[in-house]
Amino acid sequence: MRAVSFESVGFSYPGSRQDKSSKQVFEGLTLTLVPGKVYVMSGPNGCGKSTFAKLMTGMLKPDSGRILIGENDMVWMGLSDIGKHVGLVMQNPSRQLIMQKPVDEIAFGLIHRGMQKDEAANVAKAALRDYKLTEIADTPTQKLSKGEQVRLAMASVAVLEPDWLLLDESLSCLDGASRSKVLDKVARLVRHGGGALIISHSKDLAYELGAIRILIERGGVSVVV
Amino acid sequence: MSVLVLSGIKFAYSGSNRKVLDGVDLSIEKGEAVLISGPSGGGKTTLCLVAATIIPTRVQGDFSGMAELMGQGTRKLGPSGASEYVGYVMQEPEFSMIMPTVEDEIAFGLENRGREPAEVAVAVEGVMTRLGMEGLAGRDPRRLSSGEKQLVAMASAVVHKPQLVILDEALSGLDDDKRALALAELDAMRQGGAALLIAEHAGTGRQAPFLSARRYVLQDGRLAEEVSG
Amino acid sequence: MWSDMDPRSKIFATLCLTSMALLVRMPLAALLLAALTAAALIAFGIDPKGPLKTLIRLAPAMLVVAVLQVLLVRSGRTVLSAFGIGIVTTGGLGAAAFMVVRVGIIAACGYILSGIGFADFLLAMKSMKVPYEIAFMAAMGAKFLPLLAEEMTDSLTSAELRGADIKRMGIIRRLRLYSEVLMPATFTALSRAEGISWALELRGFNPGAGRTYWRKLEMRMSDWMAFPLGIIAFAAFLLANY
Ligand SMILES: Nc1ncnc2c1ncn2[C@@H]1O[C@H](COP(=O)(O)OP(=O)(O)OP(=O)(O)O)[C@@H](O)[C@H]1O
Ligand SMILES: Nc1ncnc2c1ncn2[C@@H]1O[C@H](COP(=O)(O)OP(=O)(O)OP(=O)(O)O)[C@@H](O)[C@H]1O
Ligand SMILES: [Mg+2]
Ligand SMILES: [Mg+2]
Repeated sequence: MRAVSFESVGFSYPGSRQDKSSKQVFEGLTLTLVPGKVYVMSGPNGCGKSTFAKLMTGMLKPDSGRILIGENDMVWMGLSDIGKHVGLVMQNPSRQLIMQKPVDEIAFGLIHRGMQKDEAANVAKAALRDYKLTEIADTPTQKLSKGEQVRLAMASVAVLEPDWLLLDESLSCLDGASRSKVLDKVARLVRHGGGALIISHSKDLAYELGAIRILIERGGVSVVV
Repeated sequence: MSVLVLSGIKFAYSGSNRKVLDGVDLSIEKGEAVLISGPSGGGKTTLCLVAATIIPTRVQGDFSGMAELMGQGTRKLGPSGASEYVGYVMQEPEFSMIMPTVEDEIAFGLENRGREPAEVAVAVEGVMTRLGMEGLAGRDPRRLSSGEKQLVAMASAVVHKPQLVILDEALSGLDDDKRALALAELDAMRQGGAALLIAEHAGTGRQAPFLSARRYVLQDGRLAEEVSG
Repeated sequence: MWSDMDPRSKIFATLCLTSMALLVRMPLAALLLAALTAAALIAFGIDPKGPLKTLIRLAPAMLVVAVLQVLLVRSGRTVLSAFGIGIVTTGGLGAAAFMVVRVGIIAACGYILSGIGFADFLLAMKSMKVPYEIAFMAAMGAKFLPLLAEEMTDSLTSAELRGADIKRMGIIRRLRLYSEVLMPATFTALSRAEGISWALELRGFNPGAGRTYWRKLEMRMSDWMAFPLGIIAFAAFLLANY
């Protein structure tokens, strides 16, 4: 299990054709996340939490500085390598769902990581049960409710057993029961030496989980408490 | 006259035999706020779509029961008719944004309703100030953070002063300051006579809004009033 | 320079360019047309990198069609022959070259149009007296392709993160992955378009009804210039072409 370190990372969104000015989010951000811990990240809207999560999964690349997984600089790793270490449930999970059927969605990653189709289907079915999704097994993934999509995205990522699990505002879409389920999974991952980063506006979450707080302020400064 | 009356609403999406709504009765008066919580997948979004006339007019499925918005049947009214009364913040607002800048996005609904340009400009500026979104002026609404998008969607939904504001999980992504501003705006609208239908997960660690709201839990297709305690 | 030009000038310019692209017959006219397109891109402040990328993505398909053109069109002088049968003729080469120019120009025009916002597009169409229903359908259609493209990009990123090593895949497996992802992405894009249309209706967007515009479309000097310039260019093109 490996640590993830941000070394004076700078990032800005480039301007677009309609919206010309580029948008600086981070400048000289330095932060190390060590495995075996839960981190809770919070900060005002637009401070860069989701951007941080996307940098950590390689979906965005830093303009300056570097991000290391263990000893490896992420620029040299393909997304499929990074995905072995970091799994993200996006703030808008419908963007990360690929398949039409929930079972295929969960099986997708397993198959691409080399599991036989039958076995993958079995694992996927078990995961559906685990996340209380059997009732919607025949509903197209894009029609699912937001909370169901969050659980499906979580299941699809968690079956691949990444070292790090990133949840971007996922808990706020869940009811009490599924929330406990997800937090159980996180706790288990951490017991096995993995790590988790949970992005949330909740003030009490870090306390509830005994987690390390990361506060991001506008301008991309972070304080670890 | 009630703003929204639902009685005996049953609905199953086509291709599924599960009744997502199975006998829902609800009426909302002017100046009243109703908060709906319940398990994820429990049907909150479905109920919002019924209130907004999208169900049964735009979504296929098995619908029965009586739904009236401002005294008119929703099936006849349809979304165009409902647009006169309703402001709707969708659960995933980014897929409803089409204008190139935040101001244009907010002004869009006013233009469609034929308001004078000068009036539009004043209203847009007013709501942006009240919701603390001056910093978003000129930005492309599709290239914002999720919370910023929610704020834009909220501004677009309330700027024309609708009689019924439907908020589908519209506050969950806001930080405390923004949430307070949004709540103040909504409460002012309520005091001005607007009705509010709010779907929110309660009990997820953040205080649910509107202590004055009537609260219901939507579960197994039915609404149960929560006893205040 | 004129990147925020009136959408009407852009629509007018692309109409001119595409119709010329379909008419083009003489090499000189083709050259002129290519230059005109480049000028239009610069005038509308579009970074040529964008259309170039689109062209590069289209390149394999264009290559196949070009080769077919070269082999199938046989007119003019024979350039290359084997066993006494002419394989490549000047006519074939010319046809292929024209095809490339046409596709390039149409791609560039698509690019110019895609820079116009949904509502600006409608507004422009309305002020050009295009019936609103048709304008709305056109705008929704124009919206669908970007939605699909976005959805494909998201899906492929998600696939990569879950172990589909696209960069190192063989071409067959890559095609299989694309086809696996394309159908669901299409459904998603359709359901997003559906959501957009609900939201539009609920916000009072009603093609028949009167609406106001808080920002006026202002035709400035540079916009009015687009029309005579377009007409002059068209005339020059016709002279060169016939
Ligand atoms: N695609 C984009 N293009 C340009 N700017 C963007 C884009 N996405 C986000 N931004 C901007 O970058 C900043 C950080 O956005 P980010 O989504 O990381 O915020 P966040 O902390 O996740 O906020 P929230 O709590 O609202 O989810 C914001 O100012 C936002 O406006
Ligand atoms: N178009 C559809 N076709 C089939 N089933 C659907 C469709 N839309 C929603 N559903 C199903 O109906 C149920 C209720 O969905 P709804 O979106 O109303 O839930 P919700 O209470 O809003 O949940 P959440 O809190 O997760 O947003 C879910 O199980 C969902 O999978
Ligand atoms: Mg975010
Ligand atoms: Mg919902």
